[in-house]
Amino acid sequence: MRKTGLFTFMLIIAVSCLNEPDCYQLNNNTVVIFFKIIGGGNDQVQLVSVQSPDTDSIFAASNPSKIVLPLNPKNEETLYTLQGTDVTNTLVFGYKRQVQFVSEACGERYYFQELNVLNHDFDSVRVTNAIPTPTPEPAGANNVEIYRCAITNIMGLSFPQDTPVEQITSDFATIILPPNAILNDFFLPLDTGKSSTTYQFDFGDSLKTLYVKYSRTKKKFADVCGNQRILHELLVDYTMTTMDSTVVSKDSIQDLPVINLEIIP
Amino acid sequence: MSLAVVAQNQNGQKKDTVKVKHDYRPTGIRVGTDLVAIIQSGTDKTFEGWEVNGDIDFYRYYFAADYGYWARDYTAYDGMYSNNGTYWRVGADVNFLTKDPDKNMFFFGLRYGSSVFSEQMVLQKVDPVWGDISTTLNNDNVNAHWYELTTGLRVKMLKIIWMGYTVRLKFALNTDSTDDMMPSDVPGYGRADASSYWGFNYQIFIRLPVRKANSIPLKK
Repeated sequence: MRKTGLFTFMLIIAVSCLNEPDCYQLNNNTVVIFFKIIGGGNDQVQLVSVQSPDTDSIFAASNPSKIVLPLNPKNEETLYTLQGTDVTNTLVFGYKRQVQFVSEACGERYYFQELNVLNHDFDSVRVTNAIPTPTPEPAGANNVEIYRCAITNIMGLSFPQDTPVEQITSDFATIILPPNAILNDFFLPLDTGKSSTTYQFDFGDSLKTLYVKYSRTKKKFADVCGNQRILHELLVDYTMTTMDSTVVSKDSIQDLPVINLEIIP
Repeated sequence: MSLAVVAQNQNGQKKDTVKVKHDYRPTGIRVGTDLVAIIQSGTDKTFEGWEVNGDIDFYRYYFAADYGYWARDYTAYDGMYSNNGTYWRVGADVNFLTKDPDKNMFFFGLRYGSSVFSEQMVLQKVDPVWGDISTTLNNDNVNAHWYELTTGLRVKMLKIIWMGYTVRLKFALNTDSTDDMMPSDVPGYGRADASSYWGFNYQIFIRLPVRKANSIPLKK
């Protein structure tokens, strides 16, 4: 009797522990890409489209700092073209992939590994995890980080809502807003070649001047960016500025840009 | 089993102790087959296989060896998979029913397993992003090896007829593969993507005695 009981118990344990295939997250066929700023934090990019010549599909960024792209299981390379608002970049992934049969219900799965970036024209690219990510992606997944050099001369201005301006000119050669724009929060470049920049705002019925001064420090974040000038200790020269009110809310220039001045024209 | 009585002098008192000298000479060879594999071959269209098992006793320790064959043939919604190959296992069991006069067994053991197999997969699907995928992949004469922890029973049913089962916890699988295809199903082991895997055999044996075992004195 005791033998029979033991026999039955062990039989139940054995049968209950038999494995069944799981069809969830079979393929690790995606690359999670984060956009970052060298010497800074996460970047925010505006991608118009992301495409690969291997497919008609057009991919979109899931948020401004991140995009998730699939790898082509038919090749060991996948090329992507990332078209932004100002610039278009290319990125070529290399990898190894193997197929494994899972079950009649699940079919097969692709296992990708040894992910690397074969070619790119970004400032810098780093592979953080050479094992691509399953679909749907788990929290915290990160395979590739794309870096750009920091832009160190963009000053943020905050105007009262919907302030019309006909033209803005500066005392150095740069590209500013198109004529007849509506101002809310917007951003202007500072002249890194000297320690002050003057702007003329044509509001249609009045012409106002903004004169800002700042300190400059040379810094090399990475070889690819060379020496860069960091602008800080921003202040307004009220003797030269003719705005009704100009308050410095943040005196250092950052990337991503922040609002540095609050202005009432 | 032979007994020796030893007198030990301690603090002027005589104390009797009994040293038991175990007889490690084999008493029989047990040869059997796995009924699960035979039944599964007859009922499961995707499986064909058989397995023979044997062991030989050295007092309460048993040298165990298995040899088998299995083949699988699956049809999935987007392709087909088939494999076939042979496998063997060797290892040892320890019987915990040491006082059973029939040498029935409740045992724990360890095995080393090895398999050589071939597999083929035909894929034919339309990927929503990458379009048509049509390919045939092969892994030929792949080697695999693994370890097993075993437990189970062996019970004498008739004079030389024994039955029993073996539960196996298989682990530490190591397989070769090609650049394009990962092994899916390893004969003798099971799914190759599982870091550990359970196995179960329900076995029938014939035990051929090679000599008569010494009788074991009954405990009073």
